[in-house]
Amino acid sequence: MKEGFRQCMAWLHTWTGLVVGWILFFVFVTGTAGYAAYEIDRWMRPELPMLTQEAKQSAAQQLQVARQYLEANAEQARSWTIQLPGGRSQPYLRVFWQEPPQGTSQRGRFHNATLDAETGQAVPSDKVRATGGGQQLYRMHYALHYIPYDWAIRIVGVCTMLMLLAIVSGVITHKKIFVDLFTFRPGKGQRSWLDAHNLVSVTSLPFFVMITYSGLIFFMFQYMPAGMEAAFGSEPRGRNAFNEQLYPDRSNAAAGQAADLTSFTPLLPQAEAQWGAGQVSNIGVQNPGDTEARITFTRRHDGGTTIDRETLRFNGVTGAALPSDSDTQSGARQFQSVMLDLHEGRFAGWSLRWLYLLVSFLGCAMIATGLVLWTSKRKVKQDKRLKAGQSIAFGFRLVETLNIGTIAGLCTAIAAYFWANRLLPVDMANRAAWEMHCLFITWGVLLLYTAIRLRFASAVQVWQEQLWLTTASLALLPLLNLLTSDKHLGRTIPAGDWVLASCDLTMWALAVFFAMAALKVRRKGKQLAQAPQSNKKPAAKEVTSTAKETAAAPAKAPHAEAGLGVVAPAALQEAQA
Amino acid sequence: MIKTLLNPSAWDQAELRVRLLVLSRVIAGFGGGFVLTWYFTASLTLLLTAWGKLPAQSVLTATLWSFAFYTAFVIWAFTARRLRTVWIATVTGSVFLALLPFWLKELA
Repeated sequence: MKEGFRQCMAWLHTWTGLVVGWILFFVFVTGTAGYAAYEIDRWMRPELPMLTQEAKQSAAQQLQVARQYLEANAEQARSWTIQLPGGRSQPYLRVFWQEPPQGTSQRGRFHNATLDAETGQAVPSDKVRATGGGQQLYRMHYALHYIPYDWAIRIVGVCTMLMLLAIVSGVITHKKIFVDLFTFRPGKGQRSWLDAHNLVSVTSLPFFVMITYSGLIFFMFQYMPAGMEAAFGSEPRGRNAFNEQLYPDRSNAAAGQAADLTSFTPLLPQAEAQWGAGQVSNIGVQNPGDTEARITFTRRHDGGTTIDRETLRFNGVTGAALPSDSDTQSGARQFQSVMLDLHEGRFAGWSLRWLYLLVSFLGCAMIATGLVLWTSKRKVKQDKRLKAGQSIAFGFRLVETLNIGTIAGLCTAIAAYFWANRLLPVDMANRAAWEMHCLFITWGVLLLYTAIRLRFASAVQVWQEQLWLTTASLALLPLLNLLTSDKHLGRTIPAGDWVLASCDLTMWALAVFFAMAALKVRRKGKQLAQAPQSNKKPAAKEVTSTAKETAAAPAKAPHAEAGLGVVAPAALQEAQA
Repeated sequence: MIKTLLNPSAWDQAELRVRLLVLSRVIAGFGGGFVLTWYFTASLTLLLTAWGKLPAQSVLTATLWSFAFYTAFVIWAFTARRLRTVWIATVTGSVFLALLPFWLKELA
């Protein structure tokens, strides 16, 4: 490695980016959907009512309803949580409880129920179709699918680490990082792809650094357990000691003596006096019915007012206030929790949430343009090989297949997940699992199709077909929704349920995006067909190009647009041979 | 490509040399970097604890730093002029940081 510093960084950037690019694309696409997980949840459960007005009951009444339900159904539980409806993540009144651990297991089982606030009864789950919803998409962005959890988070961890390296080395590669912010030269082939990649990456750079680093923080003790082992040993017992030391307020064991849980009625006004009416999000009870009971009120988080999760704690028997959680936080712990909140956008209201969606969409675009740029850069060499009578290199063909089959194919596959949600019989066995199978079957078929199709058609052709397929699968979804549910645009918009309406409208917006991409590729294909001989000469210069060639734009060769990693003439020649 | 790999006589000697050098750097940077980061994190934890921090907070602080350390090390490993330097730094650094806790214990 005797080349210059920036060439080394370019090498590191290219290969760290390429090796994990497709998994990262999967992680980014599903993670982007995760920012709208609750909204997608609602779209995928059309049996649930629209949310157009505030609940009729007061918070105090709902709290009472929930408590009665828990006392009747979860008396022995170790902990209760009551979610008061409000905000995006909590459209309904819900209760959660955890059983005491049984046998050898460390943790007891979790249960939950959605309550009808008027009757106090649980909403029967068999009325609503079984679906993984948006939560399943969100979960896949770190736990993947079909793979054991412990493996999956490590695979994603390695990819995330390489992405962080790709980002840092990418920044170093671009000495003109500020200029790149204002540089976009469309219709210039590979250079346009480079510009697009730079523009997208540089504008949202802080977000990408934050999202990769904080992503590592989620599972940091799985990825780097050295510190934990050095201080607390590798036994699970050590992990408990660590938690007790770091979160002294969370760990209180039951005393084993029965005592009546104090009433919530005088506590709720205390919390509302501090945060305002309707600002209580959760009420948690540890060890209900024990002398060591603790009650925690948590402030609503998605209003955009505060990044810190504020809590108020009370003795569960006497109702006396206890020192708050946040008083005992160390700097490192605060840093950690801010990082995790930033990653998940927990504090983001609807306007900031749209920004999150937009920036993560740009993240998908950054990965996609980077992957396409790899083929675009190496296309000339492949054309030469073809001319010399050799076949296209295996690696190039592989990358091209994975690019088309993943960038367009995965997006179609996610649309297929939504199609399956509407089309699979409501009472089907393992319905939620089959929705997921539909996603992966579609993706697999499209990858296979791409691999075979590339033997007979040019990449431009295959890109077009796949992009049009994505467009159609997304554009038809709101229509499918119209035919299969009563929560379609014709009803959601007049009723003012903008969450459900936005889901359908976003499908159309994405369809427009993919249609534009398909049209762009088509134009490129036509230009290549019209001027087959003129695209060799200027392109040859660009083999070694990096960002430094900014000034040397090939103004002389406006028709040298290489498009989406085009191997049109190349593949045609191969087909003839 | 696979055919070429399976047939050693077809290997281009100069190209092979370059590829092996790159492979060596990849192993030193990514693999050696992980080992080094492992001992860095463990040592920093114990150092901070010896400094008077609560052990749990030292663990958290050191682990939060570990990812930044690894990133910086890999970047350095791919920019260092000589491959030998990278290997020496990785090995001696790891050994030193692995032994550091024992010296700390002796001192305490």
